[in-house]
Amino acid sequence: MPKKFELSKMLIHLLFILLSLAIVLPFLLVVAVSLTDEASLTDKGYQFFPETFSLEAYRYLLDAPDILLRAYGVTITVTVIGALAGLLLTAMTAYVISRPDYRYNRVTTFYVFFTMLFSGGLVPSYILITQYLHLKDSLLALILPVLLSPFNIMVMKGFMSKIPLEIVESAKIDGARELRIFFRIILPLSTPALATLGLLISFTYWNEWFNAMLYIDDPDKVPLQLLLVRTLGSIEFITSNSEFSQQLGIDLSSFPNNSARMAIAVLAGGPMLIIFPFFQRFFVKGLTVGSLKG
Amino acid sequence: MKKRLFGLLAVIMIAISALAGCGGSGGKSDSGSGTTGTQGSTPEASGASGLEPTELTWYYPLLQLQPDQKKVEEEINKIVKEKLNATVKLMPVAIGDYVQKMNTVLAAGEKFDILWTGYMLKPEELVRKGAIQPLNGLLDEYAPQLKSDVPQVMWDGLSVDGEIYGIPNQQINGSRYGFIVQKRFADKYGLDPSTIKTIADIEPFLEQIKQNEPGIIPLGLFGSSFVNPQAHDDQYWVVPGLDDHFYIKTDDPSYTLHRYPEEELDNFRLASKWYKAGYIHKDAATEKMTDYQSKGQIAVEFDVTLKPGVEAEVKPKNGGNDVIIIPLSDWFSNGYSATTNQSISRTSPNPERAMMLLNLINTDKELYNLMINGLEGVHYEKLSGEYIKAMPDSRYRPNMDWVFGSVFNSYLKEGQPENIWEETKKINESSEINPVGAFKFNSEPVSTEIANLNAVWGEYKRGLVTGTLDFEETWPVLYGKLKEAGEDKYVEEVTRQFEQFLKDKGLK
Repeated sequence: MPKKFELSKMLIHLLFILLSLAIVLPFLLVVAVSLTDEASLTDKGYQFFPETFSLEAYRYLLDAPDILLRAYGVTITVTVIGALAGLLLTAMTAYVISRPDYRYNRVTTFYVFFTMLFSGGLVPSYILITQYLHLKDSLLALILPVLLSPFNIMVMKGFMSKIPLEIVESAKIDGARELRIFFRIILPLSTPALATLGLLISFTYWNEWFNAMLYIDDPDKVPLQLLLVRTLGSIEFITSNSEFSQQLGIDLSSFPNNSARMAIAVLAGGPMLIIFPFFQRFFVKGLTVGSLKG
Repeated sequence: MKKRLFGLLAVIMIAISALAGCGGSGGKSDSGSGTTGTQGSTPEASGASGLEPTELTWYYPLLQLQPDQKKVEEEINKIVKEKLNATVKLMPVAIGDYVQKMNTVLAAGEKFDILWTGYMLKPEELVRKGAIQPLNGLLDEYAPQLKSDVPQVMWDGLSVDGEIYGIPNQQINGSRYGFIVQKRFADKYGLDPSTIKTIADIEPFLEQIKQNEPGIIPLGLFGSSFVNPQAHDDQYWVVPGLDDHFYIKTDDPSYTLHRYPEEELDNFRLASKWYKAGYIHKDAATEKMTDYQSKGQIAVEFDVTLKPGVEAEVKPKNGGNDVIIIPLSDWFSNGYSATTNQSISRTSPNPERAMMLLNLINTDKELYNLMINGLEGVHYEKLSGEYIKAMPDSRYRPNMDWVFGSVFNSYLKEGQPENIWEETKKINESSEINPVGAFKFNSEPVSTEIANLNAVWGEYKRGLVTGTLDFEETWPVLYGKLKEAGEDKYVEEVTRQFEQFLKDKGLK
C-alpha cells in the first residue's frame, strides 16, 4: 500500500535536510579547498569541485612524516590519559560536594567556584610548573594544568545532586561502603553526564597547544596542535616576508598558502571527526541504560 | 552560614595576597642575586687561568624547527668545548611563539644565558623590565675584536643610558629607494636609467607601457609603499618612530618639525594623476600585488631598500623575469634600530662565558656557518669558492642567518654577488645618518589619539596611496576627520617630546 503523502512530514524532512547540509557542506568545502591547487584558488576562489586537483598542501605538511606521526602519538596519549583521569577526578569531586550530608559542601563548592573567577595567571603558573614541579619537557605538564576544570565540576555536581539521597542510603543499608556506592551506583547512574563531560574534556586535551608551547622544548614531545600552529606561523612568516621565500627557493605563486591552512584543519580535526561517530554509539547507549528504569 | 562564608573569603584573600607578595619578592630577590652574581664573578673569572666546564642556554627564534637540530648541536659543541670548555644548549623557539614564550620565561626569572632580541622583542623594553644586563665591561674584557668590528652607530642603537645591552647580528643597515623595472620592457623602450632622477621622471615610460603592452600593469602600486614614507630625500628626513608624517628639513639647524609638508602631499597628487591616467591597476586598493607580480604582469615597482643583490632576489618574485634597478636616493639610515641582536639575560649564571661564546660565534667562520647551514656534505655541499648549495630535502636548513650572528661571515648562496658583504659593509659605514634617528617617542600620553588617527588613516590610506581616491576631493574631508580624532593633541605631544629630545642631545 503506497504511503500517504504527508506535507507536514515533508516539511520536517526538508528542514532537517537543510540543517544537515548546513553542517556538512562547510566541512566538505574545507576538504575540497585543501585539495585545490593554490594558483586556481587565487584565480577562482573557494570551490566545492577543485578545478585543478593538487596534493601540494599535504606534501608541504607531511614533509617529515615521522614528526607528524610522533605528534599524533603524543596527542593521543595525552588525550586518553587526561580524559580518563580528568573524568574520574571530576566525578569524584562533584560527587563529594553534591552530597547534602557532607557538612562542608557549601564551603567546598565555593572553594571550587572561586577558582573559576580568580586564577594565578600565566607567570605564576609557569613558575609553579617549571621551578617547583619541574615538569618542563614532561607530558605531565600537558595533562595536569587542564586536569580539573571547575566548570565541569559544577556541571557534574548539578547532575549528581539530582540523584536522590535515598539511593545512597538504601545502598548503605545493604552494606555498601562509600567507594562501592560511588563506583557501583553513582557512576553508572551518571553515564549521560560522564559521556558529555568526557567528550568535552577530551576535546580540551585534543585542542590544547598553549601549555605545550610554554613547557615543551623537546621536539619528540610536541603535540599535534602545537606542530600545526607552528606550521601556520611559519607559513604566515614566509608569505609576509618574501625575501625568505626567495632564500628557501619557494615560488610564492604556487606556495600552498590557503590550501595548507585547510589541510591543517583536516589533519587537526579529521581523526576526531572519524573516531567520534564510532564512540557515539556508546554515548547513545550510555544515555539510555541506567538503573532508574521505569 | 553567611558569616562563615565571608570568613572563608577573607582567609582566601589574605592567603592570595600573601602568595602574591611572596611571588613578587621572590622574583626581586632572584634578579637581585643575579646582579650580585655578575659583579662577583667577573673578576673571579678573569683571575682563574683555566675555564670551568659550563653549560650555556641560548634561546632564539626559528622559522621552522629543524629535524637534525641535535646532530648539529653536537658538532657545535665539539667546537665550543674545545675553544671555551663549555657546552651550548640551543633552544630554538618557533618564530610565532617567540615573543610570548620569552616574555613568560623572563617574567618567571628562569635561569638561562643568551637570548635573541630584535624587532619583535626590543632590547630597550627588556632593559626597562630589568630582564637583560649591560655588556660594556664584558665586551671590553672578552670581546675587544668584536667591539671594534661593529660600527659605532650600531652600538649607539643598542645603548640605553650609555650602557650597551646587545650585540648586533650585523647585516645591511641602510636603505635607498627607487624603481625596479623589468628588463624586457626597459630594453624594448630604451629606458635610460640616468634620466630618471625623481619619482615623476618615470611617467613617459609608464605611458609607453600603457599604450603598447596590454595586460601589463605599468606601475605596481598596491597601497603598501611609495609616496609614504620616503624617509629621506634631498629636502626632508622623516622623523622615525612616529606616523611618518613628521619631517625635518635636511639642512635645517633649528630642526623644525613639518607636518604634512606640500612635498609629501604632492606624492598623493601624483598617485591620483597616475591612477586617472591608468598607470595604476584599477582595483589596486583591494587586491594583492603578489597575485600579479608572480605572473610577471608588473612593469615598474617601487622599492624602499634596493640592497646589493636585490636583482637576483626579485627575479623569482617577478615571474622569473630579469629586472634592473634605478635608485633615486643615496644610502641613508636612521641609525641602528636594534633589528637583530643577542643579549645576555639578567639571570645568567655565567655572563662572561656567554660573552665569550657570542664573541666566538661572530668571529669563527666555521662555527657560524655550522649553525646557519648545518654540516658540510650532509646538509649542504660546497661549490666553487665561497659558494655553497643546500642539499635537496636537507634536514637542517634554518635559513635565518641573521638570527645567529654577523651575516658577513656566511658562505655565499647562488645568485649573490661575490663582493656582497664588502659592498654591504661599505654601505653600513657610508650611509648618511638621520640626525634625529635616535628619537624615541613615548606614545603613552596620547595612545587614544593615536588609535583614533590610525583608524581614520586606515580608512583612507590605501585609497590615497593608490590614487583611487581623488586627492583634492578627499584631503579636506580626511584632514577634518584627523582634526576630530585628536590631530592637534598628538602634534602637540610629539613637538613637546621632540623639543626635549633636541635639548637632551644638545642639538638645540
